[in-house]
Amino acid sequence: MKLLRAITVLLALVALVMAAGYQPVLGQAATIKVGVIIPLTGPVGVSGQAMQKGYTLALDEINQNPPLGRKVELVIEDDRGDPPTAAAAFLKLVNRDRIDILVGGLQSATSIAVGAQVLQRPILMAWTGAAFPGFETMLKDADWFFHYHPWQYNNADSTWRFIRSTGAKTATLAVEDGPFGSSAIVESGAFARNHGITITSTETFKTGSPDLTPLLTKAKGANADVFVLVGFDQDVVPVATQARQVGFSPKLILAAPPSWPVGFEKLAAGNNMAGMALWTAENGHPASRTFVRRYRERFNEEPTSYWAPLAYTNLITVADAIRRAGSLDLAALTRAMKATDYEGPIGMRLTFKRSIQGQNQGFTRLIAFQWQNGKQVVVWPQEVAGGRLVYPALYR
Amino acid sequence: MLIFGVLRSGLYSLASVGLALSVGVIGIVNFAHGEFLMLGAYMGYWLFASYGVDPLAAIPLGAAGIFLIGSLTYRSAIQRVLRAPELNQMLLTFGISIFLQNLAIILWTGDPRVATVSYKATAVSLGPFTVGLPQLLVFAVAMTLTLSLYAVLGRTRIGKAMRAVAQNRLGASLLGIEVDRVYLLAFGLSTALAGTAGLMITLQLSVSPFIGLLYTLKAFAIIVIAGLGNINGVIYASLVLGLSEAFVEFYVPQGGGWAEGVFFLLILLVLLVRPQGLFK
Amino acid sequence: MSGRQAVQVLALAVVLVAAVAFPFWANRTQPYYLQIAINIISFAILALSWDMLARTGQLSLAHAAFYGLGAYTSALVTTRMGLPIFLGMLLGSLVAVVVAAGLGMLTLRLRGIYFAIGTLAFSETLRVVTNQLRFTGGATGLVVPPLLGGQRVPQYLLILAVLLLAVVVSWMVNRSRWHFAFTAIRTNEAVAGAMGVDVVRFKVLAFMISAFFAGITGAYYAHVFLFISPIEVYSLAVSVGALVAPIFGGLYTTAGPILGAVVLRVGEEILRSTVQRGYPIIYGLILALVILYMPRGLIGVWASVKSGLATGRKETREPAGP
Repeated sequence: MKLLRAITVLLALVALVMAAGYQPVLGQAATIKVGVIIPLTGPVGVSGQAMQKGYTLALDEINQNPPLGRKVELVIEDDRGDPPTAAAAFLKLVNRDRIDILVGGLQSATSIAVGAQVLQRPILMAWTGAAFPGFETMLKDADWFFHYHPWQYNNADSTWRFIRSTGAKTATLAVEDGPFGSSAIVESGAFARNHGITITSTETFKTGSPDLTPLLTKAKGANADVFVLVGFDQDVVPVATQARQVGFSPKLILAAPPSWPVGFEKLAAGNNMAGMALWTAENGHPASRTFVRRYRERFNEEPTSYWAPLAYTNLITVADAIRRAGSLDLAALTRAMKATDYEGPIGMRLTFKRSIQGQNQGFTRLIAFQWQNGKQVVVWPQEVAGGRLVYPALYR
Repeated sequence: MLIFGVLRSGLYSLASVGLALSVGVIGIVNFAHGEFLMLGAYMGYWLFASYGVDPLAAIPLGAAGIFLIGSLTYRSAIQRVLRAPELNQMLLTFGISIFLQNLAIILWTGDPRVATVSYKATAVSLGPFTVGLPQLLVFAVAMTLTLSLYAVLGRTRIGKAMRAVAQNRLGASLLGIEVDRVYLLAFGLSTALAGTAGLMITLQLSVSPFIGLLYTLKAFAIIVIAGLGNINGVIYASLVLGLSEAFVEFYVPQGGGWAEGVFFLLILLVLLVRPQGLFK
Repeated sequence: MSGRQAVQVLALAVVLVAAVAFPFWANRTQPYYLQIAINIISFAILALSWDMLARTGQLSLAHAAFYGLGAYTSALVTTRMGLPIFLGMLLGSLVAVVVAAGLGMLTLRLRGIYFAIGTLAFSETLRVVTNQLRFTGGATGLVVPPLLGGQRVPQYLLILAVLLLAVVVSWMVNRSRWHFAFTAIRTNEAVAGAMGVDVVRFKVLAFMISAFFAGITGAYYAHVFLFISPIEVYSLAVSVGALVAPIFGGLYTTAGPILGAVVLRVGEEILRSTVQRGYPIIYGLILALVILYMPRGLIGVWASVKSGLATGRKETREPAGP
């Protein structure tokens, strides 16, 4: 018992000393506080956690050469995918943590809840998420709002542009019945027409359904050149396998899930399926390769979604803007952000331009890749392609 | 279309017969039923990914594993609310469901994983039709297990004990049946069946911590259509659900989005018109 | 009025004044607390309205349906028809009430778990329909105009007023002869009927009152957070949340659901900002433990502590179950 007490006292002393040693470091210069609002739990928690890893990598790098000689500190808030929580999280960041800059963002509902609050208390908002154009309209006059993710219409434009590049004339659209898929229906008609493609039929399905054979049988009957699937990672496996089972072999199956299931590369039936994404881990760009390597070293796993490099890009460019602005003044920061010209792991140049309604839009284009023998080979656009599209693809 | 509907109903009946057992024998409506299915699916995935065990061959081990977890859940939690109001029972299983799902997220991350079984995309011909081999195997396994459960309930001593307990708990205990043991067995079996359905999902699809809810809801629909606690009606009810879904998906334009509505409407109508179920 | 009652009234008045004065202080120095308070109050109204229905033995999983109906009706009439927001919110709750009356009539025969599953199915059907239709904005959702110019102080006062109304209604239900009717129906419907209680009338009335508050809270949500979509407002999480708080706090009381809502939301907020990723596990665990060891909720614990002090022996009465 005596021994135990002695150890406790000792430990307490060590802790005290460590705390005392820590104090002066804090005292040197106040840190630059960057608030992060992302979903770490709930249905899209996976993507938010990938973002958190991207931020961690960026932070390590930034603090090796701190902007303005002040270390950057992240204050991460989990919004749970819940708008009331997201609104409260923002107010906590501004009010209690006194953040200098706000980054993060994934879903539309939470983004809108946060955006409404930022409108009342302007701060530099370097936002990664939300593709819903309603959010763009809401912040259309906000000079301090920088949006990294492509809008829905950008996604649709890229998708149909790519399909036209294959020489296809007709397409069947299959979308999940949630916001993700439905947005594709809204945008696709006009873009497909503009690019000279006829959508022969549109089908909806419930994401996660174990059996998509009725849908695929219908698509087989429609007999279009390309089958476009707008669903989630869990839907690509039934599409790949069940398409074979019903003998459905269009010239191309194109899927656009935010990420692909672990192990999909080993699925023989998935070979030659194509995908649309902002980024893939097989991206040949040197900055992307470096990012993937560092991600593996740091977290001992593969980056599976584009949210990690997007978050990385988000924080790196913000730190860069702070350096160029030379202060944390909102007007100076906004000017510096507008001058951003960065080519990083996403593999495309990032600059901010006006979009249909918004002031500062970052990425506007997706890339297309095709699964070829277990690898995601980038096939479009030409300037970043790492291989040729197999078209018509062999699905048998 | 008929054949797709029928094949799909196999998985449905396997996923829901366990819930029917738990409702019928113990009177517990388990909102965490789908989570046991999810655990089974992960068990199948890891056995395949680490040791190359085919999900079909993993059935005995997987079922036994989930049986253990289920029994543990029964002993540590369910057992204590047997006499509590239904509301508390429901909420307890909600708690268990949240707990298990988030445990899975922490243990295995939220990324879906695919077990790349070699015959995942293989098709076989059945007369004029072509169907997926995995679907056919899953259907066969599901029917075998469901029918053997019926046989166990109908023929063996333990099965008769279960039915006796289901009908009259007090009477059964007067006859010398150890009610508590029967409950434990029934709950364990119920979760093991869900776990086996999970293994079948590994065979056919991908695995993630979020797959549970969909099957919990489908299982609810099926046991309501069958009549709560009516274990024998599960196969027919699964057929009704599987077929109606497949037909709506195929014949209605943009039917996939409506299929779900059809199934909930079906539950509501059955409850309003024939609360004892269609097959009782 | 006895001395004790005077103290109670005084305490109530102090709480009320503090609640009304709170936003004027918080808005300047701590808008974060103001937001949390709004979130808690909305949740408390939802919980209390669920409890009022549960008092008649109807365990609803359809709260999301009324919440969603309120949100969607108000959002649609204000955006598509340009009606003022207050009118929209009122219409939203009225639609919820009318639908509740219909659903209440239909589900009269269902008990316990049948009722729960039936109401769940109803709520999910509404979600699918809203999801599929074009004029509701479909699955992509709707952007909604802000209530009271988006100012949090008046928004807070409004939702506080709704909570007070709910408290008064709940209190009246529990103090009048309705209490007897509700309890009788919950305990044994057949006996209640035989004793001359108009079972149909009270069950449907409870449904309507409950839906009114759920509907207005849903409409409020829409105009405060400015965006709604079917998967969010018709979410099973809304229905489950509405029943977790009363059970946690103490069923069939006015204070219980409110207490449950406050403790759960505050706890969640603390867990969220301290534990970050793993906290839903803790949440699930707490839920299970409360059911296992505190079947009468926080109010029940309080009551048994008090009676234990008063009489020197522990009370072990089971809650009056449905």
